[in-house]
Formats: sequence, C-alpha cells, structure tokens
Amino acid sequence: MTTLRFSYQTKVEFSGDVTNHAFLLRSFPIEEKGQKVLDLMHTNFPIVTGGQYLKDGFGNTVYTGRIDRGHDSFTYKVIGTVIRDDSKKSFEKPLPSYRYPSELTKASPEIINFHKNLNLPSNHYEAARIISKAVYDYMIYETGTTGIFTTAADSFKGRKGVCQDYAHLMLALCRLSKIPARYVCGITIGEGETHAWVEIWNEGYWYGFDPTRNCFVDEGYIKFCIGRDYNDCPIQRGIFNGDVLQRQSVYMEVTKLKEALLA
Amino acid sequence: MDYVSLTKTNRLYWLGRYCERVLSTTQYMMYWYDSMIDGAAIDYKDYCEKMGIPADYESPEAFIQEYIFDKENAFSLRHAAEEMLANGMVLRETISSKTLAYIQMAVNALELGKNDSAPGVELQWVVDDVMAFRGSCDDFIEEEFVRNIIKTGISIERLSLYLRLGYNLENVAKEMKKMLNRLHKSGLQTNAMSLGRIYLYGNENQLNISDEDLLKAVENLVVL
Amino acid sequence: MERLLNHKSQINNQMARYGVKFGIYKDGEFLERLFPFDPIPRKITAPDYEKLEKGLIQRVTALNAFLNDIYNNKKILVDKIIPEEFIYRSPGYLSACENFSPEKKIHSHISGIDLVLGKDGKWYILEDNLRIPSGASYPLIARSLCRKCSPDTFRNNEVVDNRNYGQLLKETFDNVNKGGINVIYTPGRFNAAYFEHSFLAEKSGAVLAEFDDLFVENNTLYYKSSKGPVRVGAIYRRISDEFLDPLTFRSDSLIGIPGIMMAYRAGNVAILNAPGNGVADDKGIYYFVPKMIRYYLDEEPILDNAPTYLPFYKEDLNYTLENFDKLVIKDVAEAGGYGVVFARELTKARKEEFIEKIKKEPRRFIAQEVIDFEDLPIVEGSETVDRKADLRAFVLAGRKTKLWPSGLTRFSRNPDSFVVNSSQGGGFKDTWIMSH
Repeated sequence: MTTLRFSYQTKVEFSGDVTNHAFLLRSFPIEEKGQKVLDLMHTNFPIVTGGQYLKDGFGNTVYTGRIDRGHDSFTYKVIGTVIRDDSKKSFEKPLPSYRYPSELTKASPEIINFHKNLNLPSNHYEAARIISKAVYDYMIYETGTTGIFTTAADSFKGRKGVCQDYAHLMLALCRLSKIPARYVCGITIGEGETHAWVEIWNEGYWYGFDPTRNCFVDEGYIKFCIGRDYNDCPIQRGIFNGDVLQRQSVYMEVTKLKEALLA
Repeated sequence: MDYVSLTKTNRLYWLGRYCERVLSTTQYMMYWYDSMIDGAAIDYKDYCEKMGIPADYESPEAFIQEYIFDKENAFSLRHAAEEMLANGMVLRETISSKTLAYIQMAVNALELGKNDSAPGVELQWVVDDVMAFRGSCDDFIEEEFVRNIIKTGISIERLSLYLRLGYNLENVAKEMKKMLNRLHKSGLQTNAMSLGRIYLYGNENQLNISDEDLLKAVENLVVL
Repeated sequence: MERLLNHKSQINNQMARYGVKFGIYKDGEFLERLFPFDPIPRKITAPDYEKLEKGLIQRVTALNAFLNDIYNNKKILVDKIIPEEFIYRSPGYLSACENFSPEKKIHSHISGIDLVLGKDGKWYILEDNLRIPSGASYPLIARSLCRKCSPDTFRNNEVVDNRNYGQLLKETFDNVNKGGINVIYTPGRFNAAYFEHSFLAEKSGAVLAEFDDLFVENNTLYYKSSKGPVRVGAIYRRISDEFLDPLTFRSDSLIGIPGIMMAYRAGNVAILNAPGNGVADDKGIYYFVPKMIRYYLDEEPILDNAPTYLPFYKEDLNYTLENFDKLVIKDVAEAGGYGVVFARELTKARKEEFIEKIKKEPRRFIAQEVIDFEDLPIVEGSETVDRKADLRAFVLAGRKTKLWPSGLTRFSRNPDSFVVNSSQGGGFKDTWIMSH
C-alpha cells in the first residue's frame, strides 16, 4: 500500500482572446479497489460556468464546463491524495472492444510481421511482458516527431515517438494476440508531464505495463483515464471562438507520503 | 410561442431587405424596359456607381438582361432573389411553407423570364409574388415582433435605395417614420449613434444632415 | 388515376412552387435539383399493409432491443448469437455510448426500412436505416399537392391519409423529451436533405436550429433565443455521429454542438436518433436481424431478408465463390449505394481482384442473391415505361411503435439499373395504402 500526494496543473495560453470556450477534462484519479481517492481539490481559472462531473463510456470521470467571455489563458489544477494498493485489484470482465483494434491501434502489415516474429506464448501476462520489452527495444524515444493523432502504424514506421506511441504500438500487438488491452493515461511519481501506459487483462484482473520505461506499473502510478486508445480519453479537449495560437504547459508532481504523516 | 435565435433574427431581417430589394429593383427595371421601347437608354453606369457595384456591361441592353437575370452575377436582381429564398428557406417553420412558396414562385418567374424575349409578364409575376409573400407573412406570423423584424428590413432597404439612387426623396421622412415604428416593435438592437442621427433628422430639419450621412445612419442602424 | 396522370404537369408545377428539392454532391460540388415525381402511385392493399406493419414493427423493436443490449449487457454476444467481430470492427460502434440507456430505451426513434417486392409477391428487406433516414417529406408533400390537382382521384380510391406524419413525429419527440422544446438541428442549406429538415420542423412544430443556435451548459442543452436561453428537451439532429460533438468525436467538426454527448449521458436531453446506431444498420449486421428477432422477442420474423451470405463463415464463403456471378456483393463499410457491386457486371480482371479482396477481408463483405423485384410503371413523355422501384417505410417509435401509412417509393431512372437511390438520380412516387 502506498499513499501518494499529487498535484497536476495545466495552463493553456492563447495568443489573443478566445470566447465561447467549451471544454472537457479527464484529469481526475479513477476510483477503484487498487486506487482510492482520499481527498481531491479541483480549481479553474478563469471562473467556469456550468461545470459538471459525469462518467463517460469507460467509467472515467469527465468534467465539462464553459467560459464564454473573452480570456487569453485557461488554467486548471487538481490536487489530492490517493492510496494505491495493487494487492486489492478487483475481478473484472473486460469490455470486448479492448480485444479489437481501434482507430489509432490498427495493425499494419509491418506490425503483423513484427508480431509474428515475437513467437508469443499463449499466457496473456507472459506475452504482454515480451511485447512491452520488444516495443521498448524497437522504439527510440524522441519528442516532436509524432502528434496526438499519430497511429501505431505510423510511429512503427518511423521507429520514434513518445509514451503515447509506445502504448499504441503495444496495444496493437496485444490485440493481435487477442489479449484485451487498454490505454491508460495518468501521472507517476516524480515531476514533469503526464504519462501513458498499457493495461492488459489476464484471467480476471488488469495488469499495468509501461513499455516506454520497460517496467511493470507499480504503486507509483496514478490512473486518470482509460480507453481503447488516446482518442477515447484525451485528458483535455476544448472548442472556442478565436483565431489564435495556443501554448500549453503541464506540470505535475507526485510524492510518496510518509507513514508517519498519515498516522 | 415561436423561439427566435440570433441567427434567425439575422435571417428575418435580411429576408425583409432582400425582399424589398427584389421588389423595388424589379419595378425600377420594368420602368426602364418600357422606356427602352421608345429608344431611351438607361444610364447604367450611373446606376451602378450609385449602387456601389461594378459596371462592366457591354451595353444598356446587356445590362438589363444580365443585371436582372444572371444568377452568377453576385450583384444581380436574380442573385438577390436567391438570397431572399435562401433566408426564407431556413425560416420555413416560422413563416410556413405556404408563405415560402411565394418567394419560391418569384424565383421561378425570374428563371422563366430569362429566356423570354418579352419578360415584362414574368417581371409582373415577380412583383405579384413578392407582394403576396408580404401579405402572407402578415397573415400567418403570429408574433408581432417577428413580423416587425421582417418589416424593419423592408423599410431599411427601401430607405437605403431611395437615398442611394436619389429618387422618391420626398418620401424619405414618411418612410423613416414607418421604419422607426416597426423597429420599435421588433426588439432589434440598434446603434445609438445612428438612431440619434435619425431622430435628429425626424425632429429638426433635414437640411442639417446630408443624404450620404443619413444613408450611413440607416445602414448601420440595426445591430445583429 | 387517369385524372392524376392528366395532371402530371400541374403537379410538377406545384412541386416547383414548393421548392421540393433534393441536394446531391457530384464531383465535389453541391447541386440542388428537383426530385422528379412520378404521378402513378405505388398501391399497397390493406392485407399487404397489415403484414408489413406487423413485420416492420417487429423488426424495429428487435433492433432497438439489440442496440440497448450492445451498449449495456451484451447478452447477445455472450450467447454467441452474433460474433463480436461484427460489432467491434464496425465503424458504427461508438465507445462513447457504452454503459448508457437513452430515455425509454429507444435508440432508433425514426427508422427507414428499405424493402422491395419480389416478383414472387413477397416483400424482402434490403436495408435498415437507423441513423438519419430521410425521405418522408416527399410523399408527404406530394400527397397534399395531388389532392389539390386531382381531388376526384382521392374521392374514389379510398386511400389512407398519410398527412399525419408531422403529428407522429411530434409524438415521437414528446415521448422521450426530457423537459424543454423540441428541436430539429440542421447542418444548413448545403445538405442533401435540407428541404426535408425545414419541412418536418414546420409539420411537427419543432424549432429548426442551425449551427450556433445551440449550446451546452450544466450538461444541459439550450437554444439561444433572442429572449434568453431556452432549454431543449429533445433534438432531432440531421448530422452524423462523427460530427455531432467535437469534444467527444471529431475535434475538427465545425457543425457540431460541443458538450452534447455529456448532456445526453446526463439524461438531460434526448437525441433522435441516438448516437451509436450505426452498429445496427451496418450491412454486416443486417444478416443477423432475423436472429435478433428470435433472440429478443422469441418470435419468427414476419418479413424476410434477401437471402444473404457472410463470407466470414467458411461455408458462406464457398457458396459465394461458387455462385459469384449471380450474386450482388456489398461492401459493409460504405453507404449510399456506391459500395454495391453486381458480380456479373465486372470485367474478368476486376472480378479476380474482387475475389481476392473478399478472401482477404471476408468480414468486409456480404453477398446477396439478386432479387428479381417488381417493376412499376412510370410516365415518360406520353407513354408509361417500367422501372425498378423500392420502398422506404418509416417506423416511428413513440409511446407505441407505429408504421407510417405511406412511404417513399423510389425508382431508378436507368431501365437496366437495380440500384434505386436518390443520390444516383432516380425519382419518387407516392405510396398509397388502400383502406381495403
């Protein structure tokens, strides 16, 4: 069991005023047996009207709201405490859709070939371990070469990408083996940006793999949202009026809380 | 109770304007059609200049034909009629299919007139149809403010044409009064400066303000 | 009847008066043209109609049960009646609709079911349209105009009145309305069914809303009236799912309503037809509709599908390859009649290429027997000629599910064509349900 204190903040800056800004956020820790939320505080600037929390099709918490009057930046911040406990996973049946390729995780002939050469065992967990390692070995981490709409097939071709691309490629490979697998977005111990990884389903339970870092997901990871791929669960999306450029800065920090502090 | 959005308000207003543009222009052109029988030629360059549109026509005859009937010409009467229909179309549930049919018929008449060597008859149909449309609007539309948005558009367009072309100037004051009365009942938002000028024109004496300034005030009066 | 024929030009004049238009996209350009009307109606006898009514209501009821099951419990997949593949590889399946039941569990409020009458006298279902089926306005306005031009025809024939469509649509709206006004949302004038959008708004008393007339706040949909925001309880949207909400689907959609999906999932607005219906009117799923009827309703299907084969199943693939020349092959991924191929019309090279394609992606195709369906007479000049015709029947799921006593009969312009689709230049007829 690990208690984590986290703080996540995103600031979107526009080069001029925007109006009628409608947005959606998925930047809240998922509530499940292995991830309990102790406290949570969410603030926005400027003031949001009509903000509402609701679950989406995957069970992610979604916050929607709008800022109608002119503004040239939008900041939201989520702070909280989460108890992570991987010994308390819940038994689940996966959505069948996790077994099928989604828009960003369709396998290209090259990926199919790559998959064939892995000679994967039939056990989901074992296979996923091999896939995660193979993706890590094959890809080169490089920012700026791919974007949020880059498909697994495209990043496979270029061999370069960021955590989202690693995750998509791993998903494509898992689904070729009919392993139910889902995209996860969240934050991890330390500070910096958000992260993306993969969960695979094996005999009733979900297990996390991080192909970008070539490791298992441990209690230092906090899940914000899940889906078949990035498209299903972007952390944030906004639509507004205004012909502007935008710049986004994300800052997150996750620290382990000492036992003593808890007591 | 009819629900009217800002988009719809915009369309109602422009429906009125285009409707009047079609009506006045058709009548004006009918007059010239008739005069040309006796050899008079329309000074189309002067007309175009006053209207602020390009005057690249080969002859007065070509002007008459193209300015009235050419659908591709963005300044033509036919084009204005298409705009009138386009605005009307989106307002079907507000003005009813029955009412909309009259402007559809006006457009159909222009299409028929295009290939007729004596299009005077079709032009008369256009006038008949637009007048019928206005009657049907009055009869069908329950909400007074909706009727008055269209009518404000009509008055504004009429004033605009009077002032641009410099005809019927003796009727400007009368039309202005009518327009203000309709505007008042329409709930349309106005530009305070323009409204001030127009009041000044109505109350004081009209010599204080040039036709050009008055035109500007009329054109900028309604804020959409 | 004869009188009606004599009045053809008058009727067409009336059509022009009301601007009965159908827009099509050709070579990237939007063209608006009159939808040619043929005055000879299709007549359906009362007993025939009764059977259609039962069969179509049964079908739509099963399709609604299926949609609700797929997005919630997925029993039909667990029981292996339909292979998962057909759901999760379908572009019509939307994960954003998972785990949600719309008001009264109605997903397809207005269903357009396409049928043909075989020369054997039996009706065959060709296609279900559960997204935004268009076309009801055409026979609706045609009837009013014909009555005007030729009243005697109607005095003598005892045709069931079809002019209640607006009322039926209103009941369908009201049945699921979550509190607020009814709105028909149109992407604007440059849309193939524009005439219909505005006409149906008028007939059903709904407000026609355009882009920028609507917004979401507090997960509630509002109409921007000049007198302030007015809550919308039900919206009949005439744009496809992918453009519906840029916050959930395509973020580059310029015609969508940001946030409407969450307003929908919050239960604050009903969307007609529900998003995600594409998974049920997929050409691949069509094969399984009779099975759905048995599964959900425990009844035998009253109306038949055209005999269909799924190359996905080994034996069906074999049958398809052996009988290739007499079959019509449909690409599951495409809509609008362009993805329909008559095998016998292919050149040898194209045929081989096509067969390879089927072997490689069997799930992408269905094969059907070509149904020899009836010709209907149409007027051409001073004589009548025969053309292939189909029927789009409209089923409305209000408090009770009802079949509209009429329908859109479409005919092909080309004498040899079996494809009757308004986007390919055919015309339409009124459909008369006879009262006895």
